[in-house]
Amino acid sequence: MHIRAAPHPPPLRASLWVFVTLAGAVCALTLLFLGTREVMAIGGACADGNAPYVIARPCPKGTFVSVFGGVFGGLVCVGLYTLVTTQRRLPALTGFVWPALFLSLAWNFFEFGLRPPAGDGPVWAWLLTGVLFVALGGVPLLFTVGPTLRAFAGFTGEAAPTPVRARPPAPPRTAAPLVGALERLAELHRAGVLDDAEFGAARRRVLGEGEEP
Amino acid sequence: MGRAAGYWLLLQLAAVAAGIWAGALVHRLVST
Repeated sequence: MHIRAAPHPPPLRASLWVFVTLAGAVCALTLLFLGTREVMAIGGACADGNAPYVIARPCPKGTFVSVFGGVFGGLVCVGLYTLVTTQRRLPALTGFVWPALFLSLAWNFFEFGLRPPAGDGPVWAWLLTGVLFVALGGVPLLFTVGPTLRAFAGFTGEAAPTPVRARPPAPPRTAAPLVGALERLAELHRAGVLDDAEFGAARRRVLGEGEEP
Repeated sequence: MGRAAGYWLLLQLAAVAAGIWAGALVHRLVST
């Protein structure tokens, strides 16, 4: 195992967001799991609320919060968790959410399907649903484990390399200004404004400016 | 696995554990 120091300290704000949103998502999944167990324990169906009919089987206390809070709270938390980890390019457990949902509910279907609350034989509809949920959760799980492990193993914490902006190429140096300066110097020399020494020095200076530093 | 990867893995596993605990606690509170 290759241990490498993280180049930057982990960002506190991102850590808090990841922790809270993931914990919220798992909390919602747990609520949904426990809430459905309570409903299944009384036969799998119940009703609540004020209605002009007699409710034969009222829901256990807290079912509404557990089930609906689990579903909608979970959707919000998973969405925020995905947003945070995607934006920050962090390795994430997002791929396990779907399998966790279906496999945990499949557990309920198997448990209550084999040992139904009424006490009589197995409930085949629940067992069949359990098999369906195992397939729905298990197949994606097979495709999730490898990529997730590789995402964590390959994460270095370094930001994605930004492309280095190349220095703009220097404009092509043309000989025209140089020739013009030399011609003007030659004219001044011919006119006697510059003597030989001054002309030579000026010419060297003009030519020297044209050389690479 | 580098330290950065280990940090995020541990943080998220801790979040999973905290979420399970919080879910069980909330369920117990609303159902009693």
